[in-house]
Amino acid sequence: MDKKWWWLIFAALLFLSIDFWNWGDGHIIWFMPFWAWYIFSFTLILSAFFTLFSKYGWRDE
Amino acid sequence: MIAITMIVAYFLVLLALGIYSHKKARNDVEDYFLAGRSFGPVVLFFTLAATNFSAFTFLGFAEKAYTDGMGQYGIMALGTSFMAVMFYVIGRKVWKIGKERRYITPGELIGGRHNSTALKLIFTGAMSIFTIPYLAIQAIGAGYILKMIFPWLSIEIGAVVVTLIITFYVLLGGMRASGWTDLFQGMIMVAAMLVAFAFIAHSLGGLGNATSAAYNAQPSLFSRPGPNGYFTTKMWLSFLILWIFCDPMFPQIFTRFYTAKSQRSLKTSMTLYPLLISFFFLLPVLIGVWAHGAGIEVSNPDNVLLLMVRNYTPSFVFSFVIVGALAALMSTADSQLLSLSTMLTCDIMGKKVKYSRVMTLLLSSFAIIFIVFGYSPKTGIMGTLVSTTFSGLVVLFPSVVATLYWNRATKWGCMASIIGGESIVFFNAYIPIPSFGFLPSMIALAVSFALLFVFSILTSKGQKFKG
Repeated sequence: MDKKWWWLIFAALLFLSIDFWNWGDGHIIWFMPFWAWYIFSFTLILSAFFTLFSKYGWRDE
Repeated sequence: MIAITMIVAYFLVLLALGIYSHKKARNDVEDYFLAGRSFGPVVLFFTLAATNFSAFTFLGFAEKAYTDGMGQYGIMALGTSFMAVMFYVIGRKVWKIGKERRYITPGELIGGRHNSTALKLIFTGAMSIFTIPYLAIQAIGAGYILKMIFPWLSIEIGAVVVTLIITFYVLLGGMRASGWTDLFQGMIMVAAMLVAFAFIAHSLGGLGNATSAAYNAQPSLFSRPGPNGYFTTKMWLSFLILWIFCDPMFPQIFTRFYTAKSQRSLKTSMTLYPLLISFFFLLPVLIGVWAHGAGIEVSNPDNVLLLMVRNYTPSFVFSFVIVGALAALMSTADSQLLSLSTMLTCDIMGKKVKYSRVMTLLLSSFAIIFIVFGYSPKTGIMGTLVSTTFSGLVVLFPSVVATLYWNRATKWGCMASIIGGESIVFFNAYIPIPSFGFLPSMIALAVSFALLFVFSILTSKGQKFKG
């Protein structure tokens, strides 16, 4: 995959990380508010993205 | 008694690792300053994590969550996770150029690329000035922690004792001791936080009940902007940018990019970093928020995590957590001490291990003086850090990224960027600048980028990198 696509996906992730649509919402699911679950999931997705990037997008020099 | 035994055992392991590192060392500068550029994936990941996660993570997160709510998890976890991209953007380049040209310090790379000693000194000076208070903050955290076990011990004396222990093993083993102790300390830190969290959750009736009680006490803790209106979208964006750009500018992180054995070490760290953060940052934040449901009232919120642990876990867990908290802050402080002494000797006096050891002793003395005379606890850990270290370091980012990627960047552009950015940070400490709801450091960063661009364009005619 071309490097620009990796950066495009990264930019999209960066944009989606600011979940402005959840602002003011505090409803709890189990022991955390929904938006905290969103952030928790987001960091896991980011780790998966970095795994793929380091395998397929990061060429050793 | 359990606490004393655990702390003494912990200190002895650190000293033993320092002595072992000293015995394993080859007698050359790269081995002392960079562990011979030999850190594999596991050691590099743990040393990057343990160095970055400090007393601020252990105590400061719970404090901020107690005061401002769960938004603390978001502003810390997201920015720090995204920051791992810098292991590619900055780390890969720094590792490669460092290996080719035998660079040891950040200043050497920036000054070397522009063939400018003045730029090297300005860069090193800025990095050092804003890191020394952070070093002292770690020791202050140690003072608070030790006081929980030894109430008769003043915070200052506890801080000084921990500073002396760190100084001892850094003097002996250099980067290898710092890396190996980070591996040990990182494991203790994570284990202690997990154990504390599990026991507190159990004591409060389970995860759901602990949160319900806190929600009933203060529902605004669980939504943004939080009870004090701190977590606005502008503040969220500010912290996201701040951590991404600031963290790699910590000298102890930047220097570690040189220590990687191969790019595989950097890749593994990049992958594992967000994974660790996802749960590790959540734990102190939840404990801080739960304190409201548990009816904990604290005069100094810095202590909220330790009070929760003391009240809701058996004494052996409390002792283990004390050791974990000490591990968190000592792993940061030793790396700061070493990277500062490395920069100040290699960039100013020359690449000699004996000079570095003298500098380590001098820096420790400065830190002790800061502890005894300079720290105002009224500002809190978060307040002190944000107003000095983070703002001061983030404005170095434009020079670094431009030096690595932009052929038209000049030494004049870099110098204008650093001096201009730092002037705003300094000015803002006395007369607050308008920041339009963002962190003031964002204004300083924007000005720093602008100055870099304008001055580089004006002075780049016919320039070639010579570094």
